Amino acid sequence: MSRSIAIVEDEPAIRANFVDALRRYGFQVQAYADRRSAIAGFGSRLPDLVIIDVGLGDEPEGGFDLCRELRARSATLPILFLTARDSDFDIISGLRLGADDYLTKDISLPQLTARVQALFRRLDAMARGGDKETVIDHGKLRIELERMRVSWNAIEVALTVTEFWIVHALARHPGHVKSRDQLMREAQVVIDDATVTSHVKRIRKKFLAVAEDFDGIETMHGAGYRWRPGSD
Amino acid sequence: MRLSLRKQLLLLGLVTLVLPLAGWQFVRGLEGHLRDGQAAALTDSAEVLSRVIAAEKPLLPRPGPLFFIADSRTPFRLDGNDDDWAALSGQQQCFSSKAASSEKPTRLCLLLARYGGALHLLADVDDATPVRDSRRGDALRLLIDDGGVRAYRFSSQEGRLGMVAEDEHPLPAIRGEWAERGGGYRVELRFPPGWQARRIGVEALDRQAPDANAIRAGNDPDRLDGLWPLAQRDEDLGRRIERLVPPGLHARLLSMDGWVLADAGALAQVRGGPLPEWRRWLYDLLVGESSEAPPVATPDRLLTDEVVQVAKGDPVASASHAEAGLQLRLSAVVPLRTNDQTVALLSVERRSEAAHLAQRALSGLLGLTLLAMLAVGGVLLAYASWLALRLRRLGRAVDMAMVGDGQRRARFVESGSRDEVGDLSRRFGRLLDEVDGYTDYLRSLAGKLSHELHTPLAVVRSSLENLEAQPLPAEASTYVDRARDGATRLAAIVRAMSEATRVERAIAGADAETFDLRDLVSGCAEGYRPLMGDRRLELLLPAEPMPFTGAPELLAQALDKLVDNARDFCPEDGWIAIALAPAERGSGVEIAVANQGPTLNPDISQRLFDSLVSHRERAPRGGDAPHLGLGLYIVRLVAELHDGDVIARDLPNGDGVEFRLRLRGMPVAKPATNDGAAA
Repeated sequence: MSRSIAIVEDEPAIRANFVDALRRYGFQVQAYADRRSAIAGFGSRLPDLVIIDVGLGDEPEGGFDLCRELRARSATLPILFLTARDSDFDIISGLRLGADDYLTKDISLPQLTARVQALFRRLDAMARGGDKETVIDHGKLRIELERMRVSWNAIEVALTVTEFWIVHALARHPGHVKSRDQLMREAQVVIDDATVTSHVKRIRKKFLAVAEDFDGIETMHGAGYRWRPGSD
Repeated sequence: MRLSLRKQLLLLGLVTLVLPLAGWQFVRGLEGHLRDGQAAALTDSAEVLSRVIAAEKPLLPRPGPLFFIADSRTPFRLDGNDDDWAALSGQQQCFSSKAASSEKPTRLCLLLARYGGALHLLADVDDATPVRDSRRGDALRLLIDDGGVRAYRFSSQEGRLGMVAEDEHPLPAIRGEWAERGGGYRVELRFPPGWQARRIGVEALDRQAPDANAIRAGNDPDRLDGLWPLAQRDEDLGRRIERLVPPGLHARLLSMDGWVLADAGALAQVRGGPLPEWRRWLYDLLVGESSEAPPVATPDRLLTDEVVQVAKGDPVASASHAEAGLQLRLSAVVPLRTNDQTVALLSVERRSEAAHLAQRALSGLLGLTLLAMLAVGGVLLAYASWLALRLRRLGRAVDMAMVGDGQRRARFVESGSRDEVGDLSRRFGRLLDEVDGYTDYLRSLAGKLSHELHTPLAVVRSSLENLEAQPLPAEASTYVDRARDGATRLAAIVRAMSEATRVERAIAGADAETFDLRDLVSGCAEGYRPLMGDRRLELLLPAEPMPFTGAPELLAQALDKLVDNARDFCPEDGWIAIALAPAERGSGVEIAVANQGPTLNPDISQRLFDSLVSHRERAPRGGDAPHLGLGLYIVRLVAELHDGDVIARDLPNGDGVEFRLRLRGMPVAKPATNDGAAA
């Protein structure tokens, strides 16, 4: 049975393009232009994954409200945010909406699809249970690849997909320096250096929130970042 | 030529010179009139006096040449030397031979003086051909009329004076001395006291020359009556004239050739006395009329121009002379007539009071004007300084306001004064506000544009990606590729446009941490090496680690921008240097990035760090990367975040450019209240 995806996007061309692309990958896609029609569409049954634009028609932050409503109905529903401004990232992060990732609208379709598929893989892994899980352990850090779960000292650190990929890229080979370009490729995002920096900063904050003395990610000025070797 | 406001006003101040100039002219005119009036009055007095004196019928020598007998205060030694006659040398009367046939003009000079009632005579004769013989040698012939004319001949008699009476008269008790001198001889004679002679004549006879060549003095051979009368100052006449002379007037009765026959009265001192030295000096300096006294005639002879004029027949002549101490002496000369014949001259002198007062006024005016000019000059200078100060302050304020951008620049303080400078200041304020608004608009325009472009760009890209998933003819995919390239470049441009906004946001959210700045700089530099190509990268780092509190990511970004900029202007085989050191002045640290290459455009170097200002008209390295002039602006934002600044300047040797980033450090992070870490 194919997965169902809902796209809530007020820009018709983008909406149609995303719908076409995702359908090509075999997903069932429902498209809504605004919050009201989306709520109406979700009335009977929630889709398996929702992609929401932050600005919806005449509601500049209608996407946030929609996300809250959906999260209230389901704690596990994967939600992806789309935004025209990368400045919204901090807002999304700050509002603690529990989104699984947030992306700018100029993300390429393959990158979007990669996230969608990753999120579905995670759903599958959750449903399957603890077997067949690939785990990376490094000191206090533990990465469960299939479930896309990262924990520090056995406390889960809630990361978005992008953040998870960055942490994974760094921690897979502790001590190896990853340049910003490499991180961008690994995290499947089209972003600039400064955005990588702000992503890393958010990742650090999230780790610091569970462990005040966290310093696992080391900045190598002029080169990039690395996971501190032997940190525990 | 650049003329500062102060100099302009000083030049204007020179216009005040017109006032003293006018005053000076006025006083000069006034003084001239006064002087003329006084001269006329003096002339009148002189004429009246001359008539009164003529009416007294004084005993006067016949008009015509005469020998003047001076009064000597010192005795004479009878030795033929003229050194005891030196005081009287001004009265010397000289004669030349009438026939100028002789090869050398020869002279006979006479001096007559009375001492102790005895008449003395000194004759000085030029004679290049001495023949000394009592009978047939050179001789001096003296003709004396003391009732009848007698002639005496004096010659050298073995070095002594020999005297012979020509007409066998008994020799009077004349004593004398013959003295030789180079090129001539002197004869000094003393007549017995009480001896009276009315007229005399003297001849110098040269044996080597014909008699016609004899030098004759006071002796006209063609006339029997040719001897010149003897005259001397008549004290009695002087006393008589003195009674007629008003006080303050100095009158002198002169012979036709200027000998003072009578002297009466004296010049009065002008009231107020002489001026102080400095005022006289000032007057001399400014008026240029030096108070030089007229040539003082010997007391016994007055041969001024006026005397000569009147002696020649002018009815009157007057003159004025400045004297030391700004006194003015007026003089007038009039003829003295008896029976319609001019028999003598009368010279009258007086010190002028009114003209003197005018001169005092003039000198006072000059002094006062000088003071006034100094005062006016001082006031003008002070005013100009004040005005220039205000204008400079305004200029500086404008400069300061121009340097920063709308948010961070020094606030332009408008002047509260109600004059034109204040207006100018307020207008500048309005202008700057408008410029600010415009700059804000421009800056936000880039951000807004990039935001607006995001969505259509996303449409283009997603459409292209969908298109690629369709089966396409080969030629069509070429166009898709090109379209995708274009979209990628467009995306880069859009990204660059919003870069400043993003950095500003990053700065707003930056947290300070303490880290080793040396590590950061060296790490970044290592990162740049692969990008340098053939260029040399030099790194100057302190020996010790350099702990610093700030935002390392932003500093690295600023360094990126500086190095990027340096690389753009550095020739392929040039060098780029990065240096880190404690600040030369004050606290903090300095990061300098220098590169070989063209120097700065001075027009733009002030605004290099403003948003949307690019100096890349001729950037050597082309490429696709859009240049919106945000790079250096970002550097400045980062510098300001760290309480520092950034300057660009040419290297001292003109070899290239240096950007110097001075950082003092960020305040340590505020308590973390805004983190979304638990999301």
